[in-house]
Amino acid sequence: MAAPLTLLLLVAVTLRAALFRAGLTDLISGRVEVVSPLTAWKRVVEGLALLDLGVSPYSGDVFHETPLIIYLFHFLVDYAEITFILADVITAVALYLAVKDYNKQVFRKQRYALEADRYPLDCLEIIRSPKEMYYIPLKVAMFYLLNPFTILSCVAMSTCGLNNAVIALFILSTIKGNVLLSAIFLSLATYQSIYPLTLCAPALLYLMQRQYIPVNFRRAGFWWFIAQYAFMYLGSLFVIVGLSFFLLGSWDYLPSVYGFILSVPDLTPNIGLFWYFFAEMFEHFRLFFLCVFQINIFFYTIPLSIKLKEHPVFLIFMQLAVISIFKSYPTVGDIALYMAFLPVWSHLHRFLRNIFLVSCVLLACSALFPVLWHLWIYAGSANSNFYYAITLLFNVAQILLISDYFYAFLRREHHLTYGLYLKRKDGSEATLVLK
Amino acid sequence: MAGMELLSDQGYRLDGRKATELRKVQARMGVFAQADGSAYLEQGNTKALAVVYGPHEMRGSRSRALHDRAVINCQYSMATFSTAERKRRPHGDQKSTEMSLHLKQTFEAAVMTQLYPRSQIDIYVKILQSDGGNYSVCVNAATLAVIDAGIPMRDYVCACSVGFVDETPLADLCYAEESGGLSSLALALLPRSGQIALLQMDARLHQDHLEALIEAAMTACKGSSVPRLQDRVTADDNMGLLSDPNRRRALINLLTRLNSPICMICYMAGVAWFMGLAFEPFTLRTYMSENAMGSTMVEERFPAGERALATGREFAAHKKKTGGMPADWLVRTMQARGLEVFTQSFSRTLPFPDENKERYMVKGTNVYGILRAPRAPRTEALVLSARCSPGDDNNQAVGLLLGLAQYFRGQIYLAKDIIFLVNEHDLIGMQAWLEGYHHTNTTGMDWSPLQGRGGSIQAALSLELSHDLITSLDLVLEGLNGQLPNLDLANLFYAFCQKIGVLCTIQGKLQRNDWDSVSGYSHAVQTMMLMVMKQASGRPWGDHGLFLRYHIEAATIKGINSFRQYKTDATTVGRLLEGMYRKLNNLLERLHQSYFFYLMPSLSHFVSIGYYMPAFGLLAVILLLRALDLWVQLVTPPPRTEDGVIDIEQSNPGVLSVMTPLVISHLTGVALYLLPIRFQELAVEHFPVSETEAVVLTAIAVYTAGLALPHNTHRLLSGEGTEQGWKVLKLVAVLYLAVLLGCTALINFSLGFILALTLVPVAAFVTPHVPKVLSAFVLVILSPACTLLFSVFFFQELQEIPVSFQEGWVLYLSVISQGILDHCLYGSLVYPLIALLVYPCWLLFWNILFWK
Repeated sequence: MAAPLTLLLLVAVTLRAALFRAGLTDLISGRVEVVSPLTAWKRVVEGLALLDLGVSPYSGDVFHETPLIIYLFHFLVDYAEITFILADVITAVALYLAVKDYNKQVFRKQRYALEADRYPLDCLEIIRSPKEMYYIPLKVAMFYLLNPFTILSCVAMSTCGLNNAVIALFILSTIKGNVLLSAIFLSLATYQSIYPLTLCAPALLYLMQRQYIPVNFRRAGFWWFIAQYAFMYLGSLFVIVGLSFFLLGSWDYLPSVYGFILSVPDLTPNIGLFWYFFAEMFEHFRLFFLCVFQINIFFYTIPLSIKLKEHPVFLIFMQLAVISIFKSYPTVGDIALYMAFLPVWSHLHRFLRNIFLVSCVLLACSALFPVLWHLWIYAGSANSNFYYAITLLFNVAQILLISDYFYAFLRREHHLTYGLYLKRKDGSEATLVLK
Repeated sequence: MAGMELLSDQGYRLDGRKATELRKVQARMGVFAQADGSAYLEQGNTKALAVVYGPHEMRGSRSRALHDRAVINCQYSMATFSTAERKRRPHGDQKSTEMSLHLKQTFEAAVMTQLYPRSQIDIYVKILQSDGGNYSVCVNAATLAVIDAGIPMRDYVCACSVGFVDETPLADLCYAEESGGLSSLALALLPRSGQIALLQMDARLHQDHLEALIEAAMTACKGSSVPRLQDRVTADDNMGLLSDPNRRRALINLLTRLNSPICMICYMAGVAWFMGLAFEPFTLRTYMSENAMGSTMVEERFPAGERALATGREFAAHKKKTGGMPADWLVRTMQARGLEVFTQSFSRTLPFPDENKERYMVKGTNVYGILRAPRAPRTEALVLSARCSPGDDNNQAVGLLLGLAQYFRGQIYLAKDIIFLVNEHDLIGMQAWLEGYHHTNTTGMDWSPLQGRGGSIQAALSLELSHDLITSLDLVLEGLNGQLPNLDLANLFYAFCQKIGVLCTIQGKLQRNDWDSVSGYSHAVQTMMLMVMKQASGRPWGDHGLFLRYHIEAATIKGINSFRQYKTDATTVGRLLEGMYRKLNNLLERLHQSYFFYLMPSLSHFVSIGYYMPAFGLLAVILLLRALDLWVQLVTPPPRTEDGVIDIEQSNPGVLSVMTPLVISHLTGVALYLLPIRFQELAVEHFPVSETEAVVLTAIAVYTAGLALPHNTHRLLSGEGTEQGWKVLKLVAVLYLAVLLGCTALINFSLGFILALTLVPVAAFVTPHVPKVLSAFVLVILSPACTLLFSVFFFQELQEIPVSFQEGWVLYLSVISQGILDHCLYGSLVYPLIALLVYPCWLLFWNILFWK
């Protein structure tokens, strides 16, 4: 398996290098779908220039990266392209290893269940075979590296790629069962963009599952583990935040980064749901709806964790998707990260209902983004409503996509307990219905 | 005796059913709005109507109320016309009282009455037509009504009657059987628990047979479609389309089964819709949306038409003397009129000689004068331009432009700068000037930077006048890439033409009032089709065409001289322009109120995007339907053949078999895009052709060479293409085409629609299994290049200058060369769109036809 992966990495790196050489960076880095005010490379360059001049990079209203990123590029600015390529490669390899490990566990669990005769007899069709699972990790890496969204994001030098790398490393360390590294990478990811905080729920569930700690609020062991994880998480977060403070010598970055993420002052159009809504909003309702929109992202964690507490990795996928749909400044790079997980759930395909419709809509929307942008900004003949309509459609399609996967996942679990060909009590064939 | 007839030797009953077969069941719920629940049920010919009221408070004597559960009150009745013999049935006859009692017992067992203490539930059942099994039909109908009322039940109640003949139980008796004197039994069952809610038998029966009979009745109840129907009816009530698998499957089945007819209908409807657009009652009257240009009436006073014509003649003389742009004279004249005058020189070498206009290495000068606004802070500007072209062309326009400059100089109301521009080499000069004005350089032209600027340009008009006296003014709207100015600009022109009394045309066609006659309609169609053809070409049809790219609303006003009986002199044209500029001068913001997407069947009527998009939508739907059909074919597992192994291998077409045609056809597209210009020198060296011919002929050669593509693809592919393979390829191609056409239609509706008109049928019918030669012929006829050829002839036909085939062919070649030039010079997107995207997409379908 190493050889195909190496080949894939080579192809991906060559492709990116070629695109960099072709000078497409300028063209792509102006696209609002690919870069957001948070991740734009132009703004990083601006921040570096300010830093070199001895001015706090946060003094203007341009730079919104975290201090660690700016110091990273302070040293690596000449090798920025390589850094971004490397970040993509790291993400892909981390996902590859993580999924490989996860598949092993899934297979082991399935074997135990089979040995214990826990599956109904007619479920053999939906039992997963090693042959089918063999290529999944490679497909995951391929989905990430060759996804046009990732490539665009990388060529535009959007720092979203770095965030994805951190999240991928977090997923890898969690799946490998390394509590400390998991907490450290989670705190790094949180430090970068707040929203990955919700990933602590699946991480905890997964790690506890791995250490055979039952999720029981009355057990001391449960609370002890949470305390441990929280301590490690908060400790490393404290260290990172402190480090940022010492690097810059001021707390300027807190409002400039996190305030910027949470209060959404920049309403440049993007593929998210915030900009149009808040542009149209009366000013005195702004705070209220801001809270509603932001809580919305975190809110899904609780019901999803309860429903999926046996399946933390699927929960990670769901959470990533929810974040990338509802976050304040989404870019296509965020979408690419959760889309990389789609091959992991390839066994759910027979239960998916709207996949054709949804993929057509996603495809059409991706093509229509630049067209409507052109009509709005350059030709002046369309207006923002056209663009927002496509944004809305794009997000609805994404929501349908993940709810479809969610439904398919639950349905497969249901079949694994009750048998594939459900009969009613009166013997007629039954259909499962989602209400 | 009777028993013999009830069941034939072959095991059929009187009405042709088998012994255990039930009658056909149909049901409807919620038939009455005022009742809490209602249902109508047909079981064979027996029809019953059930209505439920409640649970509500006790009516009448409260003493009947039960403290721990609800009272169920049932009333059964038969309509007078329900039986063969018409008879009044007073309430309370013994039979119906008995039946009411049975119903009451049944539903007391089934309804969860303990939930509603001290209340009452009324169930009324009426038999509308009686054909046996009254009791069971009543129970079934009442159950549906109770479900409809939302009253909780332990289970659905289903009832069935069973008779006994020749040791065989007969299920669901009809009237003839009931009256045939056999011993029958009615049974109401709660199917899930198997509990019997009611059992009633009036006749004599041997005890040994009882068990068999009850068994048969229970099977009939369970297996009958009634509970399933009850399930279905309940389900339909609660579910939307997306989450109801049955309904969705039904929809998909319908769409796949009726795919071809629906596609045909959509296509015809799309074309019909489009043709209907030109019909005047379906169009909207133009009206001025922009308030700033609305109602203020001013008098136009431009007096100096004759002097302007004299200036024009002077200009012509100087032009002849210098053999090009008389820049010095223009500078002097403009300065004399009090303008700030600047010049801009530019040069451009075309990628290949333009044989229409006979130019290759272009050098020229633009002269422009700025009249500064006396009344405002000079942040906005308007442009009036006239081109300086060789020969006797357009001299009057330059004269009028200078005349207007002089006139406006004396006016005090101007709030915007007015820029008077005389550009050389028409669009090339305009391109240079606009790029200079906006500090961009998109096409790699050499120009000297502008020395003076006005404010940001709000609107522009280009003037084309070549005669001292004209008969009418023609408005040209189509700009680069089919972009149109805001409709308000056309409205403005139309309004002033009406006011001043100048004959105005669009596409050189006068407006007609007889829309209800055939010739009037065809005139409107002609006008609209001309606009569609011009817009689809993506060329700028006047000097204004390049302004639109910079978000500047612009149009060309062209004097034409073809309607002999009318005469308009230069003074009138000057007054028209004066009026238009005064209105434009009032603008507070850019023109944005009115439409940007429209088609005009006449100058006074327009078709907005909302009206013409459905025509395209109907064509695009065909693609989606075909894609859905293919998808369904691909995901439904193929019927298992005996050697299942081969089947599985076949069902997984390799990525390679789809990728290879995709990549190769796109490479052909790239070749079509790059080679003609790159290889012109080589071609000129080796063949006796001029550069322009070389470019066009190379393009045609590459295009034709692409037709050999399937063979090349097959050589690269190992093994045979599979059935699944071409389906996947076609799915990809169809979706690709749909997205491509959709995007094109948004930017340039006409181009999108014309391409859809020819490519959608191709996409819909092509499979490897259609007759090869005929389909190949059709495919070629409908390919983008042939579409262009037909368009050329059609366009000439519309303009009423029909051409012979020979001339048409020459025209076709020049249109191709113009298209390529437009792309290189001004950045028109039609050529790259066709070469890089549409042609490869068409090649994919070509590939599918020759799939092996």
